Amino acid sequence: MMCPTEFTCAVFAEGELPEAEAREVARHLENCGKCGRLVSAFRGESRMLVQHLQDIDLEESVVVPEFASSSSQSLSVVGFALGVIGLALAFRLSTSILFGLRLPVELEWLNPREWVLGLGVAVNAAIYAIQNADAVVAGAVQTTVLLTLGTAALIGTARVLRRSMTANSILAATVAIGLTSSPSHAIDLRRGAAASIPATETIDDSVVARPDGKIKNIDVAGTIKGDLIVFGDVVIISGTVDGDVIAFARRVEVSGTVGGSLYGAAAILNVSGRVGRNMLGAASNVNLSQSANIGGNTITAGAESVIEGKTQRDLVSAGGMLDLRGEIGRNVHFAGGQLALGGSSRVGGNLGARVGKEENVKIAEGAVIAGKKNVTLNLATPRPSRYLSVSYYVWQIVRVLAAFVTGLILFKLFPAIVLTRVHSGMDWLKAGGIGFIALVTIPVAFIILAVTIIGLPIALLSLALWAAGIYLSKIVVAEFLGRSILKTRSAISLLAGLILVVVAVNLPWIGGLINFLLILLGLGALAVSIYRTRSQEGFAEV
Amino acid sequence: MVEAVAAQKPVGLDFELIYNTHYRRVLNLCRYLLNSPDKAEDAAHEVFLRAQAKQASYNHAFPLSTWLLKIASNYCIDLLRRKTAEHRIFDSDAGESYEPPAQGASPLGEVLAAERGNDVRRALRSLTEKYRVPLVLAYYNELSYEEISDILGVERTQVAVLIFRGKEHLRQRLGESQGKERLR
Repeated sequence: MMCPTEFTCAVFAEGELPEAEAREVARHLENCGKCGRLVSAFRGESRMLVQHLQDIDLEESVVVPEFASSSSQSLSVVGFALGVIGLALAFRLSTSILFGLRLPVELEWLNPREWVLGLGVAVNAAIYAIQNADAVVAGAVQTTVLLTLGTAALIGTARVLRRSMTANSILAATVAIGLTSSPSHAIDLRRGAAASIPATETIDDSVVARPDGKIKNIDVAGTIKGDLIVFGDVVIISGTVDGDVIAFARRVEVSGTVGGSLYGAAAILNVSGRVGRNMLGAASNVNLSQSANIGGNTITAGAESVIEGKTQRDLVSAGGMLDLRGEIGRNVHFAGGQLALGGSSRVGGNLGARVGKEENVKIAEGAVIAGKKNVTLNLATPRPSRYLSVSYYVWQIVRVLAAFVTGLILFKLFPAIVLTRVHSGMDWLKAGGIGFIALVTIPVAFIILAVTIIGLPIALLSLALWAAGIYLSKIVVAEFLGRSILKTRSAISLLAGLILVVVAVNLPWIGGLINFLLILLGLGALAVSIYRTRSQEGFAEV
Repeated sequence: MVEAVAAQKPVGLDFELIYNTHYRRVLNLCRYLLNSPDKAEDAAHEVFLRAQAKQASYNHAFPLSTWLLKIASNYCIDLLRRKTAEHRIFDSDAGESYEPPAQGASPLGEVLAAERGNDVRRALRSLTEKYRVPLVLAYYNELSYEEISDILGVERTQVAVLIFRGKEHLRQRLGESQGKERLR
């Protein structure tokens, strides 16, 4: 017999050759010293491999973590539920005791109805969008196209490659780089001639004044015969504009004369000059100082309006607070938090106020109201309980189904995004902390990015991802809950978890807080889980 | 009577004890198979949860460790499959025949003996899972080709090829590292 191949010898050495073949090889070995040595070398190698691989059990010192059995795991789900509900209750109770059923001021931003901050952000975003209209539109179109293509490509590869997270993440990173870099590089900052108008200059036409990359403040000291449309960080109008003024800026100061109407959107709007017709101000703070004179109506919307000057016709104000100390020719309408009429205030017509509480309207001695005073309370007609309407339940079902479909797609595309090993209270606490950081830092980063012009596309993208994360986080928590309770991973367990979560976030009184806590925990756990999936490489030394 | 009760209800396993006794071995297997300490820890934990859930299926005729390691192997290989785009990690490639050319490094019985266990394990870790997994099952778990072919879902002959090739790669890596040592 010819010498068997090395492969045959190797399999023979392992004792894995079929019997007949093994007999033949054994016979051959009796006469062939070369093959005999090969086989014994293979045997030695196998022995050494077994020894070296198994030695790890003796050499390594392994800390055995405490065993969380399945019964304790389901207990931890109960613990989790109790923890979340308990935390929500405790928070709610303590805040109601301390702050009379209101969130502390520092936490007011958590309140989605807190529209003042929203207004500020919206105004700023609008300003920057308008300031850079050309670049922003180009960037937005580009971003949308790339986003669509990117999503399609991502789903496509996920389909083709089934479940390759690595390929998906590499692709996602590429898409993200493509998305974020191109618009910012594409922005070419060009602004018209000097936007500020010196006192000596008179312009016969309408003016659109925009700042450039360096000079953000615009000072209109000269005379404009037409209208003025102006954007900037700080806009000061000390000259004369015969037509209307439309001003968008962080801060708008009007000390000059506006022949037409003044439309101002800003964080702070100060008017001390003359406005021939109406004044419309949307700003966090609207101040009409004593010297201000508005020929028509004054309309303000914002957190705080202080009206000291004179308005020939009506004053209409909505917002957190109206402090009226000046003279209003006709009626005053107010809707919002608090209304104060100072001693020097004069109202030529009626005073109408719509507030939460009667005592929120304070009228100082000396204030004159020529007409009738009419205070309406917001709380006069209590809304019927939402739990009594059919549409409410229909909407909740729609909500569950929508989340269910989203969840199915999410876990189909990214099966690795599931929560694992979060069953101790400590893990949840960690997740909550990380979630809080994610929840807080991203909007802050968004605002910082949004005020730098080139950052706007990145800011909008990150905001979109943030919003998506908030939505998905609850689905991920629901999936975890369903899986832990039913002990299987299926569409049913996802659905069960979602129903549980939707019921929990709709509980009266504490539902909103549970929602918030679930978002925190979900975001945090999601971040940890994604981080863990990513950090699988680099296994230096066992 | 006592026997009858015992037959009806399998002897309840003391899971705390089982866990403490076998955790290290299960964890090491998971580390070998998954090549990631974090993932291995998760996997080891999951393995014990699964074992606890299906204690009833444990056949007392076999050692407990065999049963646990089998659950661990199946679970880890499942994870590897899920992670990879191609579900068929261990199938034969086009150029890979049952009878591979008998060339390349020969068995390194003596050389291997001189190697430190750490070097061997490091070399093992550097292999792709296609070769690493069968080697681990064969030499850490000491499973037969038949058992490995069951777990991996490939032909027994393919298991033989994978192990043969895997050892070839291992020798190569060890040879490289030895060469580097010598250069120093």
